[in-house]
Amino acid sequence: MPDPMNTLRKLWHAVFRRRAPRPFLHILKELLVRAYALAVLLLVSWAGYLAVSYLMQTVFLQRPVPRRFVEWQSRNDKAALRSASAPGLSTPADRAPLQHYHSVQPFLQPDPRNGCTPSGCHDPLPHSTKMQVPAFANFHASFLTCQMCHAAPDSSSRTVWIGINDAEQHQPPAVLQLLRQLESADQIGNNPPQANATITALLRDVVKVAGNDPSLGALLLQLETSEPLSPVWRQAIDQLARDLPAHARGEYAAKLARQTAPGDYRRSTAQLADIADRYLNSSDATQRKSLIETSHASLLKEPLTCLSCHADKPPLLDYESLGYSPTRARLLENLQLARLMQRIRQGQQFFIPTLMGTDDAK
Amino acid sequence: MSRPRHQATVLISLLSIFSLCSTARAADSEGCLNCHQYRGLARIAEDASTVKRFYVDPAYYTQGLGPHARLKCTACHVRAEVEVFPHHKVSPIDCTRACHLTENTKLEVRFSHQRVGDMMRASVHAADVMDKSNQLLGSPLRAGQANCLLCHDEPAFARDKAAFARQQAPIARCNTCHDEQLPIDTRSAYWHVHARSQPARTNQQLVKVCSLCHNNAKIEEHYKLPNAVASYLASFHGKATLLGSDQAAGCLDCHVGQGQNVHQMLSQKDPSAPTSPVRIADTCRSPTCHPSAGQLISSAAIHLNLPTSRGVEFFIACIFVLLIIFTFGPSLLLTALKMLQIVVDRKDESHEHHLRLAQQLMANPAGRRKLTRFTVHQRIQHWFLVLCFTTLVLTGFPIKFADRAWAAWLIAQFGGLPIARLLHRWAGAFLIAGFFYHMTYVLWTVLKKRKTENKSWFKTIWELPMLVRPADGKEMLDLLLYVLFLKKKRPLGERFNPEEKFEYIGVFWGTFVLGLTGILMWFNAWTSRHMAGRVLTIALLVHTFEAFLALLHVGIVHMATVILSPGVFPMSPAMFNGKTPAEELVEGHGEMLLAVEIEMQGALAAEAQHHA
Repeated sequence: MPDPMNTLRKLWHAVFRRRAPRPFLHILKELLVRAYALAVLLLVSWAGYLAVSYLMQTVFLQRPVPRRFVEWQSRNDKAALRSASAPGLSTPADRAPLQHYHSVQPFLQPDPRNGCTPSGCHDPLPHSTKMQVPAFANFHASFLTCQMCHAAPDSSSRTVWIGINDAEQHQPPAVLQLLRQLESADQIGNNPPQANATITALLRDVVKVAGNDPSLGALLLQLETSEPLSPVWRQAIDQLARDLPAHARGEYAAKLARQTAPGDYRRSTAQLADIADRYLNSSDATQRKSLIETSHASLLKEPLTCLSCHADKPPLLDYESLGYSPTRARLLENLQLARLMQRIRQGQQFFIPTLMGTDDAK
Repeated sequence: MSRPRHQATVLISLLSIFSLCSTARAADSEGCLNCHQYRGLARIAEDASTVKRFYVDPAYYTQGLGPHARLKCTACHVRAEVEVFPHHKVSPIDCTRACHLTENTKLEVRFSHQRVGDMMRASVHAADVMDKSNQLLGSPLRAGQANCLLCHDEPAFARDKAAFARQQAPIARCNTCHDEQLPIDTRSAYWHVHARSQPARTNQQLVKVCSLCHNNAKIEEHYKLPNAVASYLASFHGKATLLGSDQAAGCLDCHVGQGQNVHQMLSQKDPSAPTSPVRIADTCRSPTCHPSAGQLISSAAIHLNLPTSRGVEFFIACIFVLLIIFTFGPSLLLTALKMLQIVVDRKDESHEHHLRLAQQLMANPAGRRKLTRFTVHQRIQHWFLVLCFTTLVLTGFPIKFADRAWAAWLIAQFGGLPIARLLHRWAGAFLIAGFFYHMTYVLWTVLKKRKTENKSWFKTIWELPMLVRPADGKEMLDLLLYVLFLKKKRPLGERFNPEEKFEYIGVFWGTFVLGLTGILMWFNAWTSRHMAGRVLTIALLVHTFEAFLALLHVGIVHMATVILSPGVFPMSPAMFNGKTPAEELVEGHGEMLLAVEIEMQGALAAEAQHHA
């Protein structure tokens, strides 16, 4: 029986035995080889451990069902509103939450540069259930910045489209421009190739904003590969004219905002985010109160109503200059539904079955 | 204005007017989509923790993306609740309520899911079971909500909207006749038939639906059910499903009887259930699954839960665990300890001398030739084995590890599971053919040797260089003692050292076991006609365990020796040119080195003299 102490002594001697002086490069090479051998030793041991543990699990434990098969939602969780990749919120879902029957399409346009909601002060669906028609107000929040209704209009400011990702001024959304283009038949008739080039360029942008919608993508391909005015082209235009309005429902990757000079909106939201940050990190009640007052100083006590934009003469917004087609602009300027909502806000109830069927709010 | 321009103007004017009309008018005659088409129409619920979404995809109705597109909203929702603005709180929907479908003739047809309700009542998923399950799940459905929602959401002809974009051509063909002469809503009719000509859900989607209850511990405990989803996913059918195949049997393929539908699913205990012991064989042998299988196929286990089963399968698995531990374990230990010798820079005292000798011999053409351990013929056989083995590993292990993300990716690189399986089978067939070829080669070598050396059969075979002899066991033990620092002298090793011989024997054993079980599974119909279906279950178990053992040996021990070991890194050239590196010769084939030295003594002395 070998003596363990003797063995250990031998091992110690083997590792740290004295040697004659050797060139530095030789020592370095030897060290590298030994380090490499140690790495292989660890790798082999680790692989062996994994293999044996897998084997044991296979035989003695039931493998759990992969997560993707067991993750299901029972309801539309509010907490998910702030998640970057919640299925059915910002990405398509396999199925709706169990309690929910209808569509599971992503429904909330992210708004990372907005000063009010990403800070955590207000929810991404900011309009409280205590008020009337909160859902209507929330869907307006998908294409209006908060200040549009909650701050007093300033004669020196101009309403413009602001990109949700860069908070900078942009041209009207491509989908609105495209709808306008399709409405202006003369432009297409006068120069079909030119009009087709414009339509495809705009449609490309629309497809991008619409999350690469496959049906719009197919139409884009048809328009790009067919001769203007050919039957295939006409069919594609026909289909586009039918499908496009469904993509002009607020998710433009842009919002309307008022600004006096370029960059105003970006600056004000950055400032607001900074104030919110200080507010959330402060424990001093006086400072918090002061910050609240500063950030909400420009807000109206009572926000603007639906009528300001949809019934007043002249309306608050010049729809045509904002890129809406003339027909849609006329409808938006005089929207019956807005009057109805205004009455509901005043606490009235309506029983108007005939409303179900008007062309309002297209 | 030119003619084309005029045409375009008229066309676009008409289109523009059309585009501005409510496209959902036909389906949404009540105009609900006027508001509900906006995605952002949502609010936080009164409970402040959930979101109420009021968005309804208008495309569902305008493009007829599902069977319910022909329904008015008030077909399901109570009119009195939704015709008031703001709407009253809506009641839960009763799915069996009678509704009116708008037919192509514009006539409304009375319809109800009451029949489905009746089917459910007689099935294993009767209302009381579903209600109890909802309760055991923690009541994900609100009080009064139809328990249909546990399995269904808004039915769609295809979840993938791109599919709708791709199916324009057949609809256009239908319109040739059904446009004006025999007017029907071709789009709806096409999709209605097309969607039902294939399963509504993929196998993976089905598993997800079923796993809601059949992977829930409370439900399993209450109804005394096994975890059917976990055991299914561990079966071959389940693994194929995990790899994205819809060809393998999904839940409904076995649990729904022929000519029946999912709502009529019965308990296994019911003799008329397709999974009952008396009918299961016919279910397996259905024309779309295993029509040529024998009656005995029914004893093959689809829902085998190995850890809880205490049958022969578990016993065999335990044997394999021991086999793997007692064969792979020592090999792994030896490999790791050999690496440790390098880490601590421990060398046999004869190492330097042998290294110089090896270098001297290899500098001489005759010495190099004599130190060649593998002939060209042997190297070709080895590379053939490498090719077959690699193909088998790459096509087989994604099936074993089907629940890992890389497995599905790898199978996709082969073009899908059917192609991967085909490659696997043929690689296996080639491996068996290679095995028989090698046996012929060995026999031919024996015959040749016997003829040239005039020795007995026994002696010729006994002297085969790869044959394991009792001395190999002793040498192996000596090596183990040496790497454990319990012995000073490292065993020298012949042309083929004991480790190589054991690996060689392993190939024999592995090819036999894997080949036999693989053939049994490949020709499963034949197997089920002549043996119990359980043989297939055992064959699958043995096949996967043996393959795992082979992979461990080759992937860890062999690779570490011939590729990763510092003496040969990045790869031993022995299998390319037959030349074993000097370091490897010294470490594992010292006896061969000394034998060649004796043979070459005269030549080496002359060479030394010449240099002097």
